[in-house]
Amino acid sequence: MPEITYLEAINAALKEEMRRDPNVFILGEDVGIFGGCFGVTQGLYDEFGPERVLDTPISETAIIGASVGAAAAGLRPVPEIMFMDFMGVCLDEIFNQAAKMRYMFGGRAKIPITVRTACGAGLGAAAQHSQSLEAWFAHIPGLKVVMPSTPADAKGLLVSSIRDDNPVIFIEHKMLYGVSGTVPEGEYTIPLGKADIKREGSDATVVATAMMVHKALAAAETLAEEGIEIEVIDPRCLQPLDKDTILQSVEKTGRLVIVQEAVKFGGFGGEIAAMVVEEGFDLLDAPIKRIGAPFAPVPFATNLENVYLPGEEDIIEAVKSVV
Amino acid sequence: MAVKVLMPKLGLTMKKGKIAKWLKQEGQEVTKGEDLLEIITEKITNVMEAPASGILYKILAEKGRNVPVTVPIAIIAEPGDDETVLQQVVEEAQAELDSSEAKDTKKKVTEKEAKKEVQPIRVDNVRKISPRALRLAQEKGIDINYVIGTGPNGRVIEKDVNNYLQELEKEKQPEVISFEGMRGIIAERMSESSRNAARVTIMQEVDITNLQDLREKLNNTFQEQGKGKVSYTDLIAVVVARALKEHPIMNARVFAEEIELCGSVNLGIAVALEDGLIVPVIHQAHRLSLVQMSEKIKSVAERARSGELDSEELQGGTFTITNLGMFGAEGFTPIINPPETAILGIGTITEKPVLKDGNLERRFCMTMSLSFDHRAVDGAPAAQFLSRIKEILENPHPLFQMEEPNISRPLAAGGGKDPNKLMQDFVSGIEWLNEEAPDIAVGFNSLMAPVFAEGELSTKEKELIAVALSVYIKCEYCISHHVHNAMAAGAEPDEILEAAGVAVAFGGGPAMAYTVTLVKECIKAFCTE
Repeated sequence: MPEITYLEAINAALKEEMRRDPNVFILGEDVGIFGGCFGVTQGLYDEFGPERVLDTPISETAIIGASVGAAAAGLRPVPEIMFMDFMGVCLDEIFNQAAKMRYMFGGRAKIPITVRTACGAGLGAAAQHSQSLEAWFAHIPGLKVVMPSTPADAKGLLVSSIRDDNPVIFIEHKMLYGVSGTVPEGEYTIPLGKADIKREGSDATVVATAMMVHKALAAAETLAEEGIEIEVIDPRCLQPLDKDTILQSVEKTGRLVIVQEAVKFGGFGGEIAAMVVEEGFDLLDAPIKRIGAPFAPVPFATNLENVYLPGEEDIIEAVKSVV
Repeated sequence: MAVKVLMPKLGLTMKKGKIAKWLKQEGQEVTKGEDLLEIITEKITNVMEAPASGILYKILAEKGRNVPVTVPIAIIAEPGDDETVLQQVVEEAQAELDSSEAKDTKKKVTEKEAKKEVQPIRVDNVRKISPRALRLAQEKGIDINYVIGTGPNGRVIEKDVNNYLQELEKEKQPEVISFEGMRGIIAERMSESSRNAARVTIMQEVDITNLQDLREKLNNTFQEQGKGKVSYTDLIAVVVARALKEHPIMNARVFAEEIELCGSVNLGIAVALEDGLIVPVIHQAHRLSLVQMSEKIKSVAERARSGELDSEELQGGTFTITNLGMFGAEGFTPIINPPETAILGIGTITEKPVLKDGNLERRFCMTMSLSFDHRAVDGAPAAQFLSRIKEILENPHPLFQMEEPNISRPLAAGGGKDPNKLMQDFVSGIEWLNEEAPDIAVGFNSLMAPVFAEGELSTKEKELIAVALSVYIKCEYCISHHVHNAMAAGAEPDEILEAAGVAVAFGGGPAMAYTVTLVKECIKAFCTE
C-alpha cells in the first residue's frame, strides 16, 4: 500500500469522486486557483475547471446556502469552510436548513452535502482559528459528524460522506494534514458509524478522536513499557456513534478514559461517558476519566497553547489513576 | 573563630550519648582540656574535656538530652568573635542538632514499619466498590463486604472479587502436611513424652541485668581478641551444665523400670528449622569453657540448619534447653525430650520496673520454664534446681573469669600435719578439682591411670609423664627433649599440653606458666619438622 499524507488522501478522495460522479462539485474560499488555504484542493481547478471548483466570496452563509440549494436540486456539493471557527456564520444554513429539510419534507428531499472544515489547535493560530467544535454538530438531529485521524480513514470516510444522501460535517484536523500513512490502493470506502481499534490492549480503553488518537498511541507505547496495555479506539464518526465497539472494549478492560482536544465541559467525551454509564455500568471497574482542554479560549502564545492542549502525559496519568 | 563542641564517639558501638551534667555554665570561661561536661553512654559516665579555650557561648543540648555522636552540643566563642557570626553559628548548629534527632526518630519509625507489616483492620464498610466488582459478587452470591479493595483509593475492583473467590476455593481445600520424616519423628516423640512423663512445669523469673552487663563486657573483650560473640543461650548453657552437676537427679534418663543418673552432662539445644525442630546434643557440656560452649552451639546450630549433623550428635542427651525468647514468648510449658527427666524453656528478655530493696529499679528480666518428669523428680528438688540456676544467673561474675583459665591458688598447698586430716582433705580436694578444674583432673588422670594400671607403660605415656616433670622442674632442655620424644611416640599436642598443664597447676600456677609457652613453641617447631 502506498504511503501518502492525510492531505493527499483527502485530495485523492475529492478527485476520484469528482471523476466518478459529475454531480460532485466543490466550492469555498480560495479552493480553486489557489488550491485551498491548506492546499487540500490543489490541482482540482486545473482538472475540473471553474464550473466544478468554485471560488466564492468571503461569505460562509453564501457557501452553505448555495450548497443546500444545489443539494436539494440534485447535486452533491462539497463546500469547504476554511476554519471550523467560522461555522457560526453559516450555522442557520447548517442546522436549520440542511439538517432538517429531509425530515420536514417527509423524506422527499435529500440534502447530500459534505461540509469539509479544519479544526484543532497547535499552529499558534489563536482563539478564533483553533477550536474543536464537533459537539455542536453531533447535537443536531439530521447531521452526520465525521472526524478522521489517519490518511486511510480520511479518504475512505470522505468517499462515504460524499456518497451519503445526508448532510455530513467532515472535520479535518489541521495538524494532521502532514501526517503520512498507508492508504489502500484503488477505490474503497469506510462505512460511517464504524469505530476503529487503533491498538489492542486489555488493561484500559482509551477513546480518542482526531489528533488525540496519535497522543493516545504515543501514551500506549510508554505505558506498555510499564506493563500497562491500553486499547485505543477511534470512533471516527461521532454521529452515528459506534457504541458497540466501545462497550465491547470496556467489557474487556473494565476501564475507560476519553480524550478530546475540545473544551472538556459540554464536550463529546461527556456523551460517550454517559452512554457507557447508561448501557455498561456493570462493566466498569473504575470511574470513567475524561481528558479535554480547560474551559478557556485557545491561547495564542505557543507555550500557553502547549499547556492548554491535552497531551501524552495527561493520558498516562489518567490511565494510571484507574488501573 | 567559634568552636562547635560535638558529641564525642567514646566507643566503637556508641551511637548516642546523654548529657548528664554541664560542668560549666553559659558565659563562663573554659580552658582547653578542662572538664566541660559529663556524658552517659550506655552504662558509663564519661567526662568530656573542652576542645578549645574561650567562653562557653551557648549550650545547645541541655541536661538530659540524648544526642547522636558527632552532632554539635555547644559553642565555645574565642576572643574577638563577631556577635552576629556567633549567632549564625549557633543557629546552624541548633538546626543540625534538631534535624539529627528528627532523623533518628524518623529512622526508628521506618524500621518499626519495615519490621511488622500488619494489614489494617477495617473499622466500617463505607468504601468504594466498582460496579463491575459488585455485579460479579452478586453473580457469585458472595457478600462484597468480605472483599478487601486494592484498586485506586482502596476501591473494590473485579480483580479483588476474583482473588477472593480463589481464596475461598483454596480455603475449602486444607493444605496437607504428612506425618512423614521429621514431622513424624517429632509427633511420635512428643506424644510418647506426653503419654509417659508425669509432666509438671514450674516457672521462675530471673533478673538478668547483671548477666547482660557481663555479656557486654565479655563480648567487648572477645571482640578485641577477634573472637565471636557469646549469646545468652551460650551463657545459660554453661550455667545449666554447672547446675546439673550439682543436681544429678535433673541430669537423668527415665526408663520404665529405673532412673539412670548420668555422670556426663550431655546438653541438648533445641534448634528451630524452617519446617521442624532438631535437638543436637553437646556431649560433656560440663567440661566446656564459655568460649568452647559458644563455638560448639554455633557449630551444631549451623550444621543442624544445613542438615549436616552426625547421628551421634543427635543422641545421648541428658537434658534439653529450648529458647523461644527470640520470638517473644515469656513462659511456656515445654515437653520433655524423652528419656530425659527435664527440659528448660528460656523466655524473652523484658525490661520492667522491679522492687529491689524497697526501691523501684529498671531491670531486665527473663522467665525460665522448667518441665520435669514427676515420676523421677519431685517438686522440691526441681524447684531447688531452678532456683540454683536463677542464683547463678543473677550473680554470674565469679563464675566467668575474664582471664585465661588458670588455677588461682596452688592445688598442692599444704593442709597441716595430721595424716588423717590430710587423707580426708585429699578426697575433698579431688572432688573440688573435678568440679573446679576438670581439665586438670582429666590431665592428671590420664598421666596417673596408666602408671597404676596393670601391664607396662607405653613410650608415649612415659614421655608425657616426663614432659610434666620437665615443666615441674622448669628445665628448658628437658622440655624440648621430652616434647620432641612424646610427639615422636605419637602424642597429640593436646595431650602434651594437658600433661604440662598438670605440672603448672600443681606446681605453683602462674609462676610456671612461661614454661607452657615453651612447650607450645616446641610443639610448633617439631610439628613442622
